[in-house]
Amino acid sequence: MGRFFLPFVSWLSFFCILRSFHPMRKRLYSLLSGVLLSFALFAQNSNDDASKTDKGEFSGNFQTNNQFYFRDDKIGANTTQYLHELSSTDAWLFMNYKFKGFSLSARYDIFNNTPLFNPQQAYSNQGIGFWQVSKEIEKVLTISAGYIYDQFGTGMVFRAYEDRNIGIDFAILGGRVIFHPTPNTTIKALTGKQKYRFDVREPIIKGVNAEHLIKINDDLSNEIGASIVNRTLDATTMNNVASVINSYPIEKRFDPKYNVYAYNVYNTLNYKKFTLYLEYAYKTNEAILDQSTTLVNRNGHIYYTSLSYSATGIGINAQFKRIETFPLRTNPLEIQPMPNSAVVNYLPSLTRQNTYRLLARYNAVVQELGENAAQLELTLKPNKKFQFNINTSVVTSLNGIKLSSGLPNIVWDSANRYFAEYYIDMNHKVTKMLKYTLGIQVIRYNQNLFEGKPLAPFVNAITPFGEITYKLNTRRSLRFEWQYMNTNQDLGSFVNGLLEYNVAPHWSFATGDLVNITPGFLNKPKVGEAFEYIHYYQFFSSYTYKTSRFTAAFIKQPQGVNCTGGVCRVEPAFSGFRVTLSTNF
Amino acid sequence: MRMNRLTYLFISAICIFTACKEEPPFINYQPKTSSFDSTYIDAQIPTAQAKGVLLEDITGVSCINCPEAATIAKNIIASNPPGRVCVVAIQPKLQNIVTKPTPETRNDNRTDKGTIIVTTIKEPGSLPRGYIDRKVYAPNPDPTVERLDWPTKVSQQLALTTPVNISLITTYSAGDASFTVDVKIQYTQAVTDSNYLSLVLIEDSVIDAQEYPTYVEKDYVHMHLFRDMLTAPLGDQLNGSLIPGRTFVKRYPYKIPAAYVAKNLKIVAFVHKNTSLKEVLHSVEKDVTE
Repeated sequence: MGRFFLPFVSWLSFFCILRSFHPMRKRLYSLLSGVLLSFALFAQNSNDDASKTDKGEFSGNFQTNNQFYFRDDKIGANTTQYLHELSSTDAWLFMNYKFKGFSLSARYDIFNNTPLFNPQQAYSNQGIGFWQVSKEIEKVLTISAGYIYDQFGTGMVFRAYEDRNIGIDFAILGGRVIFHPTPNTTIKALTGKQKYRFDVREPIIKGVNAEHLIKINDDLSNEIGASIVNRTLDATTMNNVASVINSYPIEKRFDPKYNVYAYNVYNTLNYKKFTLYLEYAYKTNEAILDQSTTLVNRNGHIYYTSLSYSATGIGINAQFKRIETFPLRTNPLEIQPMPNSAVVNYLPSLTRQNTYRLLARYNAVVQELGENAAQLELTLKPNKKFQFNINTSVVTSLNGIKLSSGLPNIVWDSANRYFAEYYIDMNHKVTKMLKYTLGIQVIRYNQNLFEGKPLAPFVNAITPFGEITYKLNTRRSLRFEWQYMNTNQDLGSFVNGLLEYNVAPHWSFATGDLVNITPGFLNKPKVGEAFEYIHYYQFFSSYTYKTSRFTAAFIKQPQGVNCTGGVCRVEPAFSGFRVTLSTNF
Repeated sequence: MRMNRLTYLFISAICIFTACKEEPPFINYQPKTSSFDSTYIDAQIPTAQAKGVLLEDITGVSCINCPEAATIAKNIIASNPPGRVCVVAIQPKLQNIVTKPTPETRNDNRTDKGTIIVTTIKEPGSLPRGYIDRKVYAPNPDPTVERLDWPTKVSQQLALTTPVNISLITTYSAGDASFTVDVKIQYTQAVTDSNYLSLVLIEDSVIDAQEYPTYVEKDYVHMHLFRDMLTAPLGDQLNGSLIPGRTFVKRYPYKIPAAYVAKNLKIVAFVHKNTSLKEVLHSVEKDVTE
C-alpha cells in the first residue's frame, strides 16, 4: 500500500496549492499542503532506504449518495430539488495514512444541490471537509491537530461527531492531547472551533476529560470519569445576543455570559453480572432560548442512571434520565434551520431505536429544555429456538413525575405527556431454513411538541408486525416483513410490506409498498371527496463485491422525523431514484 | 504518588477554566430611550438623500499623532459640501497607554459606551485610527483605517447612494436643560439585512489637555467629542420589513449633564448594520439647540 502513498500525497498537495488561491482559505490550505508535502518527501526518503523499514499503511473509504427527484404533490414531494435542481449528489472520500506513529487523514466532501443540511434548500460546495495530523508517542501521549471527532463520557457535556445521514458534522477544528499517565488512566484536553460546512463557527470550545479504571478483582471494577467544557462566545455573536436582550422589556433583560462551563462526573460500577452507571452534569448560567424562543438566563442539570443485568438467557436494562434546561450550543441563537444546529453536546435518547419502517415512524426527539425519560428493556432467551424482547419507555415534561408516598408517579395529562412506547417481539427459529418474528408496538406521541405542528392531536398508534425468512439453499434466501399501523391521528393508518430476495454474497433485491389506507387528522379529505389510497412504492437492488456496495432504488417515503441515536430532524417526503456507492480500501 | 499527580493535573485544569470574572456586554437597564416609536409604510416613496459618510476618529489625549488626525478630519469636512461628512471623536478606555489621561488632563473624557463601540467594531493596535462608515476596505483585514487614507476612503463612500433617508428635528428646552430628538427614517430602496439606528451626542470646543510629539497642549480644543448615546451603544434595531416606503418615527428625550455646554452639542444619527457586517448606510448631523 505504501506505493500509493506518494502519488496520493502529491496529488493532494497539488490540490491544496490550487485551492490556496482562494483568499479565505489561503492559510489553511498552504499549511495543509506544506504538511502533506513534508510527508511525501519523508515517505520518499523512507522508500529510498531500500524499503528496509515500515512503509506505513494507507486506508480509506468512499461513499456517495445520488438522488434524482420525481415531483409528487400528493405526498408533498415538491421542495426546491423537485422544482429546479432535479438531482443531487453527496460524496465523501476519506483517506488515512499511518506511519511510525504518525497518522495523516483527509476527507474530500462534495455536495451538489444537496438537501442534507436544510431539506428546504439546495446547497452546493466542495472541498476538504476534514483533515487531521496525529502523532502517538510511546503509547503514552497522542497529539492531534486539525479536525477532531471525540466525546467525553456519554457526550452529555461534549461530543464532536459526524452523522452524515442527517447532515451533522460537528468536528472541532483545533488541537487535542490524549495522555495516559497509567495504563488505566486517560486524560484528554482539546480546544478549537466547531466546524460549519466548510467554515467554522467563531466561538471557542475547550475541554478536559479524565477517566480512571480501578480494577479490584475479576468480579468488581469501577471506572470514574469527569469533564469540564468551556465555550466562549466571540464578539459578533455576543453583540447579536446583547442586541436581542436589549430589545426586551427591561424586567426581562439580563447580563449574558461570554463563557459557559459544563461539568460532569460519571461512574461505572461492574459487579459480576450487574453494571450500575451514574452521571450528573451541570451547566453554568448562560443565555438560552426558551420554548417561546425568548432568551433567558438559566443554568442546567442532567441526572442519568442505568442498571443492567446480563446472564445466560436473560438481559435486563433499566435507565432513567432527567434533563433540566441543558441546551449547549456554540451560539445560543442558533436554532435554525434545524433544531440540532451548532450543538456542542449529545443528549442520548432513552427510547427504543426501531428499524422496521412503520415502527420507526414516531421518535422521541430529546427535549434539551426539559424532560424525564425512563426505559426498561428485557431480553429473554429460554432456549436456542426462542427469543423475546420486551421494551417500554416513557418521556414526560419536567413536571411529569411526582413523588407520592416516596414513589414516583407519572403524570400523563395533556400538559406533561410527551412519548410512550410498549413493545414486544418473539423470534422463533423453526428450522435451520426457516425463522420468523412476530410482535406488536403501541405508541403515544406528542406530535405537536416533536414536530412543531400546533394543530396536530396527540397520536395513539398500535402496530402489529412480523417477519419471516426462508433459506432456499445455502446462498439464496427470501425475507418478507410486514407492519400494520393503526391510528386516527397524523396521516392515519398505514400498511407496509416488503419482499426481499438475497443471493449471497453479491446480490440483493427488494420490493415493497407502504400504503396510507385510511386518513388521519392531518390529511382528512375535503367534504364530498373520497380518500384515495396513497402508495409509497419501493424497488431496491444492491450489488456487493468484497468491501464495495452499490445500490439503486426507486423510493417514495412519507414526511416524518428521521433520527439517529436520538438526534432527529423533520424531513419532507421523498420521491425518486437513489443510487449509492460505498467502499473501503 | 501517581494519583497525586493526577489530582494536581485535574485541579490545574479547573483553575485554568475558571480564570477570572468576565465583563458582560452592555445591557441597557435604563427605561426606554425613545418616548415615541411608530412605523408604517408610506405609499409615497421620497427621493433619496445624498449619502452622508460617518468618520469615527479613535483618539486619545496621550496620542501624539491624534491632533494631526483631527486636522485631517477637519479638512475633510471643509472640502466637502456641508453635512456630507459627520465626524465623531471617540476616546475609548483601552489597554493602549495612549488612550489614558495625561497628568494635565482636567476631565477624563473617555466613555464606557464609546469603549463598547470600539471594542466591538475593532480595537485598533495603535492610534490614531478611524472607521469610515465602519466598512472593511480590502486588502485591510479590518475596518480600522490609517489617518492618511481617510480622505480617499471618505471620497469613495461619498460616491455611493443611500437606501435610507434620515431626518432630525431637535427641540431644546433651556429651562430644564433638556432636549428631544425626533427621528424620521424612510427607506427608498429595499434592504435585506437587519438595520439599526444609532444616535450619538457629540460636543465641540471642549478645552482640555492633549499631548503632542514634543509637548502637552493644556488648552487644546477637542472637536466632535463623543459624549453619550441616546440609543443603545450598538444601536436600536429597526423592527419591520425594510422595503421602499417603510418609515420609522422615533422620539428620544435627553437631559443634558451640567458639564456639557448645550450650544456646542450635536446629534449624529446613522443607520447601520450590526451583524457580522457593521457598515453604516447613511448618517446626518444636527445641532441640539438649532
